[in-house]
Amino acid sequence: MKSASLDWADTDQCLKCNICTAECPVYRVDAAFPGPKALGPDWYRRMQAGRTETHPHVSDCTFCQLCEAACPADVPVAHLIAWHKSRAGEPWTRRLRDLVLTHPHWVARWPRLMAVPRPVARGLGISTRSVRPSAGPSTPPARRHVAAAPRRVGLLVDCYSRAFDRETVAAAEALLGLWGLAVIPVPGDSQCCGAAAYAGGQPETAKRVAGAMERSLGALSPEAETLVTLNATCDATIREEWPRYLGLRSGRNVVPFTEMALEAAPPSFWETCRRAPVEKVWVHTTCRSRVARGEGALQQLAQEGGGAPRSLGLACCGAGGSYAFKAEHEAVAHDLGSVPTGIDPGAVLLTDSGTCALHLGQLQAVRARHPAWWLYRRYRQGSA
Amino acid sequence: MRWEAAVAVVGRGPAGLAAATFLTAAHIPVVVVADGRGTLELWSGEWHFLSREGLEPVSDPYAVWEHRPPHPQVRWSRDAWGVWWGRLLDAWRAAGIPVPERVPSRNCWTLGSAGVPRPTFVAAGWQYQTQELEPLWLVGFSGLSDSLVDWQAAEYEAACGRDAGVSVWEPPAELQREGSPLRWAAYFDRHGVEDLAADLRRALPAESRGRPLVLPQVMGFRHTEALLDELQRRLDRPVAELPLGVPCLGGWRWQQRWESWLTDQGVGWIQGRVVQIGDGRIVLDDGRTWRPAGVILATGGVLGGGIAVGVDGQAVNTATGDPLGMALTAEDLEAVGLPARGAGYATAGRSLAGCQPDREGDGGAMNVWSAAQAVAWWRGGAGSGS
Repeated sequence: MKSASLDWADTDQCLKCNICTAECPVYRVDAAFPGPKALGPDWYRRMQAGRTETHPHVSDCTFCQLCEAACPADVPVAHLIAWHKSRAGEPWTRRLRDLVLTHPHWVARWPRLMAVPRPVARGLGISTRSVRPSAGPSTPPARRHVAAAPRRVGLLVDCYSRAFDRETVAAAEALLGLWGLAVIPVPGDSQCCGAAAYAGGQPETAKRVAGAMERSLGALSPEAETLVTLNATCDATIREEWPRYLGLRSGRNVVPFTEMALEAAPPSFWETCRRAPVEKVWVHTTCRSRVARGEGALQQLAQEGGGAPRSLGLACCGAGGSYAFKAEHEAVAHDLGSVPTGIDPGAVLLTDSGTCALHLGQLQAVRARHPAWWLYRRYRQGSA
Repeated sequence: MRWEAAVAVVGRGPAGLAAATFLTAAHIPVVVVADGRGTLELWSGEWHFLSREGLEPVSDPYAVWEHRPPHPQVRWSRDAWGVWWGRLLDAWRAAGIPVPERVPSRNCWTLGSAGVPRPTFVAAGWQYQTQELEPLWLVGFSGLSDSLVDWQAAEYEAACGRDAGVSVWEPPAELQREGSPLRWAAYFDRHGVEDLAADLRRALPAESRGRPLVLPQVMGFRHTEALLDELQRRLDRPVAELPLGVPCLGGWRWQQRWESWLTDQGVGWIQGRVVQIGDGRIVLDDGRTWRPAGVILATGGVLGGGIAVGVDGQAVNTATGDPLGMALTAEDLEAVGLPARGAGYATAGRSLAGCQPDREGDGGAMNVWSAAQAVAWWRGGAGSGS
C-alpha cells in the first residue's frame, strides 16, 4: 500500500530499478508489452514534457498492481498505467463490448448478456476461449442463527456473486449469522464498485457507477460499521481507489470475509469444522488481495477449518475481472492462468474472487471456490 | 486479524526473512509486515560470510571472525556460526533452494557480472561456483543485454590467469529482439533448451571439452534446475549461470521459494507501511492496528526509506545517509516518521554495528548474526549465539 497519489508532478520518484518489471506477470508472457516502468513512470515523464502519444499495448496490463506494491520508491505505477490507458482510448469496434464490461452490474441483472453465441461474441471482441460465467445451482436455504443482541455488519454482495455464485452469498450469510452477527446484504440491487471501469482506463465511468454504490452504502444502517466483502477486487477498490482516486468514501470499516472469519468465529465453530476429515486444499491469494492486505489469512482460515493448505504460487491468474473476456487479451490471460503449478486435477482451490475462480477452474482443471462456500461445507460436515 | 500471537517482523529483505525463519524454526508464530519487495532481487542469490580483508580475498572466514573480527561487537565462535548458518541452510533446502547440505567450511569462488572471480560462502547450485579457479568456457547470448562475453572472458583471464573461451549463441529471431533477461527467462521456461542444446552441440569447439560451461543467468524463473540438468546431459559437461545486473533472476528465485515455503509454514504477510510502533501496538498507514507479541525491525533499507540502527543505538537514514542520532528514543524514531512510544523491539539488518558490507563482503553474515540476536533478544535470551 502506498501513500502516494497522482499528485506526483513535483516528486517524480522512480529509481529506475526495474523491480516493478521483474514482478510484472504480463511482461513475461507478452512480447508486445513494454512493462510497468515504461508504461507508468516513463510514460508519465514524457507526458509531462508535452508528448501525448500512448502505447498501443497499454491495455494489456491486468491492473494486478503487483508492480506498485513492489516499488521501493512509492511510485503509483499501476495507477499511472490506468491513467495512460484512459488517454489511449479503445477502437470504436470495442465500444459496445466495453460498455457492457465496464458495467458488470448490468450483467448481474441480465446474466444473458454474457451468453451471446460464439459468432456474435467474436464480432464484439469477446473471447471465445475463456469460459464465461453461468448461473450456478440454486441457493440452498441458509440457516439463520442470530444472537439476541447482535452486532450488525453489511455484507457486500458483489455483482459476480449476485448473478453467478448465490451459493457463496448464502454460505457467507449463514456463517456470519452463526458467529452472532446480524447480516445486512448490500446494496439492495445490483451495483458495481467501479473496479472494472477503472482498470479498463475509464475513470469517469468508474466514478459514476461507484458513486451510485456509495449512495446505497450511505443508506445502510449506521450501526453497521463494518462492511464484509466477498471479492478481493471490490474490497481493495472500495477501501483504496475510492478515497484516493475516485473521491468517494464508504464510511465503513471494509474487511475481507476471510479476515472477518478469523476475527469473529468462536473456537467452538472451528472445532466443529475440524471434526470433518482433514482435507487437502490449495489456496490462491489473488493479486489484488496480496497487494491490499498481504498473504496468509486464507491459509490460516483453511488450517483452522481443518484443511491442509498449500499455496498455488501464482502471482496473477490473468482473469483480471473482465480482462480474460476480451478477445485481444485471451492469449495473455490463458498463458498466465495455465502456468504449471503441480495442482492435482479436480482438487479444491480456495480463492476470493469469482472471476479468478472461474478462470483458474478452467485453466488448472480444479474446483475453485470461495472460502465461505468451503467453510460452510466443512461446518455442515462437522456438525452432521 | 489473527496476528496478535505472532512476532511482527517489519521488512522482507534478507534480514527480515532470516529472522522469520529463525522464529519459525523455534515454532514461534510470525507475521512479516512490509511495504515493498525487499532487496533480494538486487543480488544474484548468494550469501557472503566474509569475502575480503582489505583488498585480499578471504578463504577461511571463520578464522578471521574468530581472530580479527571486522566488527568487535560480533563475537561468535566457529560453532555458533555453524549452528545459525545451518538453520538457514536447512530452511532453504526445505524451500527447494539448491544450497549445500552441510555448512561450508570455507569460501568458494563464484563470478560477478563482469566475469571477475570473487569469494562467496553460500550460492545456489544454479550459479557457477568452484573451490579452485579453472579454465572455463563462457557462452554469450546474442541480443541479451549484459551478456558481454568477450569482456567477461578478458576480465576473468586478467583477474586469475586462467583461460576463458567464448562462444556466442544466436537465438531465434523472436528472442534476439528481447534485451531483457526477464523475457529470456520466460522464454526458456516456456520453450525449454532444445534449440540451445542442439546449437551448442554443433558450435562448441573441441578445446571447450572438459571445461565447465557458464551461461548468462536467464535460465528460467521456475524451471531452472531442470533446464540446466537438460543442458548438462545433452552437452556432457557441467553447466551453470553467471549472474547479470539488477533485477537479478537468482535473487528473484531465492525470494519466491523462500517466501512460499515460509507461507506454507504458517507465516503471514501483511502488505502495508508501518507508521507507528508504540504502546505495544503496530499501526499501518491504512489504519490496521494490532498488538503483536513482539517486534523485530528489519528495515535496514538498502533501497531507501529505511533506517539502519547500530547496536550502539546510532541510527542512519539509509536513503540520505544522514545521521539520525540515537534511535532508541521515541523522539528520534518520530524524526524518521516511525514513532515508537516506549516500545520494546529488536533490530536486524546487515548495516548494524557500523558494518559496511559492500566493502567487506560480509552482509550475509551480518544478516544472520543480527537476525539471530533479535530473535534471541525477543526470546529473553542473552543473544549468546546458541
